[in-house]
Amino acid sequence: MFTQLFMLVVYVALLSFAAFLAMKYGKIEVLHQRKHALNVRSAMTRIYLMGKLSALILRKPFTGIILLTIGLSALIAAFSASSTSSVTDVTKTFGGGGNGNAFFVEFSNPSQVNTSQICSSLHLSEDSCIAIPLLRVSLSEPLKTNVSKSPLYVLVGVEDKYYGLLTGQMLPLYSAPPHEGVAYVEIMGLGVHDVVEAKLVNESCVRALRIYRGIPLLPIEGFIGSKPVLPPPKYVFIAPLSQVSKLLGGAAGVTDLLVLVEGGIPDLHVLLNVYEDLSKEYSVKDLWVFSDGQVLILSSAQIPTPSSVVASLIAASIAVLLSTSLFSAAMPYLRSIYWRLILEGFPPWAMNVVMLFYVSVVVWSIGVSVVAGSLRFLGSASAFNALIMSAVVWVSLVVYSSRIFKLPSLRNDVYIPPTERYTLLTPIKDIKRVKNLVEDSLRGNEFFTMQGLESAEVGEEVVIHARLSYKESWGSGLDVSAVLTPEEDATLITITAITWGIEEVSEAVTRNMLGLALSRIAGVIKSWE
Amino acid sequence: MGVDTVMAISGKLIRKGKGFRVGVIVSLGVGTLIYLVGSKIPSPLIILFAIPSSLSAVFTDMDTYESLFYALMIVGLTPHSIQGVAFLSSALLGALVTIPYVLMSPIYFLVGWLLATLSGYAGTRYLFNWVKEKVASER
Repeated sequence: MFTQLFMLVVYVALLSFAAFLAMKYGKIEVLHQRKHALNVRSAMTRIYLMGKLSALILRKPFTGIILLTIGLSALIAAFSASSTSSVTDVTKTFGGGGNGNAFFVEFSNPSQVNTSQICSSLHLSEDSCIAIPLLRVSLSEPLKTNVSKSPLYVLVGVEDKYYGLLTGQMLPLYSAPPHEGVAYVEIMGLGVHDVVEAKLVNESCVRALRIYRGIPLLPIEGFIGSKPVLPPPKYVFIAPLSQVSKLLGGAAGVTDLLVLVEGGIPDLHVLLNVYEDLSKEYSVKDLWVFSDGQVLILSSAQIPTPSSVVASLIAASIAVLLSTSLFSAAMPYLRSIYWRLILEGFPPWAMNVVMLFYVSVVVWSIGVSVVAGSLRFLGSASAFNALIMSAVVWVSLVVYSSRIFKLPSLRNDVYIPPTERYTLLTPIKDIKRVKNLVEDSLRGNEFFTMQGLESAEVGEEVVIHARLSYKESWGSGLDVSAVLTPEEDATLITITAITWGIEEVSEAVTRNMLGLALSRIAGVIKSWE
Repeated sequence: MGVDTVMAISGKLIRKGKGFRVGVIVSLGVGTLIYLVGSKIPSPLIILFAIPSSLSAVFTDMDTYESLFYALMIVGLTPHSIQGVAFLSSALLGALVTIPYVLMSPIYFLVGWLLATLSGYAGTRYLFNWVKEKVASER
């Protein structure tokens, strides 16, 4: 009590100190950085405006219809779920050798178990089935003894006739190597309020005790990685089952049941049915199956079946289609708001933020509700299906809305306007090859008739000249000159084109000729780079 | 304008509009769902689903409806005829999206169709009023 009070005082003191520092820092900021404070105010106004806009859209009738669509679709997805118990092969972890067959049933809560009924549920006759109940309980209040200074937090009860074997030797069920001074506890007085007299013995021995193969007698409290964490043996009290039950105030039931089997274990399909049958009768947590060296755990965790996931995706697809259709109906309204706000100085990206908020609120408000309800009433597989559906709808609507309100691009890919001068730099170093490419492009141009082509090598440079007649317009054409200059690891091509005509050549024809001739040369060079 | 005109306009609206395509896809999807896991889904849920199905099919055709209503108002179609177009097209779209309910039971189909028709009609009336206000404000 004193410790708690002390920690509370420390906590309040630290909190007050932190608040004082924050306020002091805030005052300094306000006094010395007024400009910054004004900026914050401006940003707050914008956020406020975005919030108002979101609230305005959320109140529209189409929001209700979208909510209805998503809600119904999520419910359909949840109801269409089907699942199967998960099966995990832990042979590598808990194998431990041996060819004996056995079941180990872990219950979620202490249960009253009819062992003969369990045997029949496991499809076993009473002759071939030896059931050994155990009770392993972690106490909320420690139990004090007159022997140990340490209080006891964990009680382990083993069925009486097997417990007796603990005093002198290991249980035959335990595969751990025998130790001297095996766990032994003797209870002198019984009852919750009685002082229990007990003897605690060798701790390392208690830790080594196993129920069957790798399953420890001490209950697993948790895991660090894959390594189980056991309670310290000095806090554990091991006694006959009947006495532990009395200590807990009567018929406490059992938490675990080891069933030794003489004969074979059914196949996995039958085992899953067995597990389902057992789960209907008892609150079964896990069913361990030891069969010819293989160890399987059938757990209460449910895995959705493929058909269930397919149904969920179909429901999601329908919901996406319906939601986007309904959403598109709201577009004229949203667009008119968008353009009005843009004119008022509202930043274009803010609409995307508003739509993201809107879609998130609409989808997840109903989605989370259905997921939570499904988890509570229909099970984890249904919740999983509803979650998949909601996530698919959310992603689709976010993509759709961001596409609709996409910011107009300031950069566009445009055609290079026809020009009289054009310079190209190609990585082709062989100047003769470049020369051939340019000449071929001039010769092979179907829009022009070649009237003359000549070339000359001047030093390292090559000069090409061609006179072309334009087929589409009589009496007009162009003279093309290309100078090829070798550069380091490249070739520079400088093209000059001059149009000519018997009559005045219109601007449109000039542009056509320049475009058709130069683009062919550029295209040929680029495609062979 | 008589019943023939109303039926012709409704038929054209259904054939030309995007809502028809949405209706077909929804119908196929719901049909697959009912075929796969129909027994697990509570029937009221499926029947209620007719409402958003029909509304979405109607709202997908918003542009078509808008231009059509606008044109019909200009050429002087009576409000009763426009309501007739709205109801008939809703009934046709409603039947389209609720056809798969036959897989469950003909009764479910009828109830679903009724719901789809009424909700679709409400949607088209809403659109019509919207167009009417728009025309009034333009004048």
